[in-house]
Amino acid sequence: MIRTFRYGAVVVVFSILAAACGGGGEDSTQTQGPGTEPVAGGTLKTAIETGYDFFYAMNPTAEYYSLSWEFLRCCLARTLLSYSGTPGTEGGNDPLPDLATDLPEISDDGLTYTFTIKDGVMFGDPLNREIVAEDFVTSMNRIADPEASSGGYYFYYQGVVEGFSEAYDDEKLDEVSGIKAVDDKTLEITLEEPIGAFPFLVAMPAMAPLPAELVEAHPKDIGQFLVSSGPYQWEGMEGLDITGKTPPTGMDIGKSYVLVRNPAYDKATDDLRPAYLDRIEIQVGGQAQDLLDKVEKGTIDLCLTCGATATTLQTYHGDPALEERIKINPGDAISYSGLNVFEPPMDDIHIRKAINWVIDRAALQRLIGGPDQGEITSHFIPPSMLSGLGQDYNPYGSPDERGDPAKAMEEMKLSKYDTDQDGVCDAPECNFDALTITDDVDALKTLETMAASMEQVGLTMNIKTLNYNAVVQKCSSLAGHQTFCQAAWGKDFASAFTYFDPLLDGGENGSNYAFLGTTEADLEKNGYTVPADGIPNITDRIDECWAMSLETANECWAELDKYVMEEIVPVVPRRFQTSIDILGENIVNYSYDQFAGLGALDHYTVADAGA
Amino acid sequence: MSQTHLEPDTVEDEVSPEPEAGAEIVGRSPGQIFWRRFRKDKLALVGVFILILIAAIALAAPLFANLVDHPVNKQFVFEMTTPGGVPLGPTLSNEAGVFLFGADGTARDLFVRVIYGAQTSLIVALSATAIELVLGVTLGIMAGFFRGKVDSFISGLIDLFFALPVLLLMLGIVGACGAQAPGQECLGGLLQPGRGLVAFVIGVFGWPYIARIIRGQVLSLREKEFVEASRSLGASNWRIMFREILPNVLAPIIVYTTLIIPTNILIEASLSFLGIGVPPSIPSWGAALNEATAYYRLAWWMMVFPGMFLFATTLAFNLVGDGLRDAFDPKTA
Repeated sequence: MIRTFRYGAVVVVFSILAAACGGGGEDSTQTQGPGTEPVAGGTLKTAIETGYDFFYAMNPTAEYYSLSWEFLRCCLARTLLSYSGTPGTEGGNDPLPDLATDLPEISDDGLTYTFTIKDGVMFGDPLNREIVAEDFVTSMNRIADPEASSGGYYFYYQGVVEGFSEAYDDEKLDEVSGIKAVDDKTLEITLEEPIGAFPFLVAMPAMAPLPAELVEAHPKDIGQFLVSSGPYQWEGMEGLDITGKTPPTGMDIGKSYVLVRNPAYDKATDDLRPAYLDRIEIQVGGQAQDLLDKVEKGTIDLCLTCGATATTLQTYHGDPALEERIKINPGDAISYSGLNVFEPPMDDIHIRKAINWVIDRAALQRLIGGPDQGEITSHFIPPSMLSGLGQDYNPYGSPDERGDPAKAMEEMKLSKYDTDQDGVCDAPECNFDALTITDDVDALKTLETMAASMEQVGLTMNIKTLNYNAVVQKCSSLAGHQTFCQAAWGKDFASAFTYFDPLLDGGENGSNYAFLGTTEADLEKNGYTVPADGIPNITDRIDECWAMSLETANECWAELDKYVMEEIVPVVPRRFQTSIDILGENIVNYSYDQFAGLGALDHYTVADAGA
Repeated sequence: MSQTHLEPDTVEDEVSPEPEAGAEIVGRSPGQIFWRRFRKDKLALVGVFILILIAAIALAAPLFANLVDHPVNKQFVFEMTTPGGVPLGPTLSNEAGVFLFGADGTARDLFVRVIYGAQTSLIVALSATAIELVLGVTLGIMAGFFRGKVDSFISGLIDLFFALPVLLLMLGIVGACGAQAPGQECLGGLLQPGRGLVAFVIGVFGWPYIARIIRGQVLSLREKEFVEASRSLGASNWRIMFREILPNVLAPIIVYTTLIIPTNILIEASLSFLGIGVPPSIPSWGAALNEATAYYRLAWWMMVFPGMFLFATTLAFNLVGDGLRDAFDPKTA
């Protein structure tokens, strides 16, 4: 997430992203001032860049992108447990009771979770009926429907919820056996094995309740007709035939979206969302700098996807009146390059280490906007995912982070591609390709800078560009034979599992650009040489950490982080990204939602709220 | 025997005052007549001067880069950007040396990038134009000369190409062939990412325009007496087409060539602006302009200098093209 896109279970960088665990400069919350209550009402005018739409038309089972998750969390799809739309330091990463009356009762064996559903929680227009336990069963069954959840994160529930994998794999089996509506107010979920992080899975938007009649009528395009369980709904939902084909007026895919208040929503049932605004408007289209200029002029209040360009940061930092409108927060995200560990020359760990030693991370950071955009790193897991563990871990650190050519050359001498062992790569394989997205200017700059660093050890990196889908397709398949791919990744929830599992496990899973854990058969089928010392695989270690309680797992994940960066080296980490919001002058109240990595839409207030 | 046959009015159109009694009548070749007219066109001469200048700058690019020790892809991140990564402007006194045009978004010497960009623009445009000429002239002559089924086929092909969404196809082909893994390249590796691929794609889609013009000319020329004469002497069709007729369509070919070169420069710049032209490591004016859009409020030089060179080059070619057209055209005498 975090303005990284997962498409077919893949994320690739759109460079506007920012980084840093430990985070940023300005406040992550903002109010009118001491003793001043935020004023409810008004309209928030927002924009989304061209190419950054809701990829699955707000299908809650498939949307896998921070922007979509913020809209679902804030506005449209409450879940049994959810988040408060606050920074991590204020508990923003912790699942809290939402549609459930309390945290779940967990059986002694850790396998059965029982939730009690609040009274008075309602679906909005046009149903206007109370939400019951069966609506959650409908949602779980829908996650297990490959057609409905394609592109989403169904895999998190595989092997976790009892009977999920069977239902997902068997077309004839429509129901997940591990979820049961005991009565209208009681929901019971049985796991295959105890998973300490299961509350995080309950808080994901895919588990929001869905009415069966909607699911039946719209197996795929459900988002356009999504009956809200949150404080807002699409404009035009009242009286809409949700079994029909005409979406509400507030849902014009690719052009604009409008959210208005959900009349069935009862604020008394919701401790998490202040929901100040009356209306949220989203226009789709435009380039980042143009949209940020509109924010500066006051034409719009916010660009939801733009982050901050170097131009904007310099302009705002140069004007005290503007500077307070920059909001920099820890992104729980990383910018990195994925190395296909089976494709020459990256099939040699010494090459991979030499690259990690030689690149000038300080130059990379400066070129995309400096420290505002994130903290330099040479390891993989943001310490914010590890309760601070790993904060001082820097396996490829160098003076001023400018790279260490001497150590890189020492490493290169050990490589089979340095035939004369002079520290300079000299085999034909030392000339390789790197792939990134055509219009991703920052990713391109990053690659050019990395290429310049690599020349010091004889590596020639040819930069090639393709459109987003093509990059994802090539980088995520062994058949693509890509060597070096640019990527970024943000957490799905506050666990290192959401980095290791999607990015470094399971071979061709769609986002594992290193292809760790692939099979000999897949390698041979795609024309690779099977490594003599075996295929790198961390599945067992991931499973070991995943099964631990949240409290004890962090050390396990931190150890795995070290193991990956020193014994396998499948990535070149660069930055822990920040998340930057540039606020328009009309915005008064702001809170950073650590869960989605964006400003919390339900916390905004606007100056003209009473107008 | 090869012979250039120009229309009588073309040969004699240089309007001369009535010769004075006893004065010697000076005979002039078509080339002399052309040059007498062309040199009177001051704008065209300015165009020629600009083109020579740009060509010289392009050729001298490596020399200048060596002189200032700013290789084309060398970055000066800590010397030529602000702490926030915004490039610095033109300076004669930076610790890293002289930056006449300032730095680009990746902290490289923009002047070096721009003059190398001239190489890219000229190489791609001239190569693409050559491809268009070979295809267009050959097919145009064949269509006009053979008429009948051959003409129908080639004219149909021309109409087909006119109907194609050329820009989209270019985007698709350059994009698809620009990033293939080893062993998966387009046309078995014949099309490699780079200037050649861009030139090939522009050329392959650009030939119908010139083919249609040449076809029209040849339809007229094939009825002329010199063609009849050649045929009666036993000349083959190919000889008549390429030894007798071709020299007589050189004028429109030259004029059209000078007009499509700037078009091709702009197409290359457009493709690079969209990020699918030449690879990023090869400097291109279009790519430079694309990068400048992110900095236009703070780094005017990034847009002005590449834009100025692009403008001057296309203008110069157009001025020269207009001058050539006027010089070849008897009606403008």
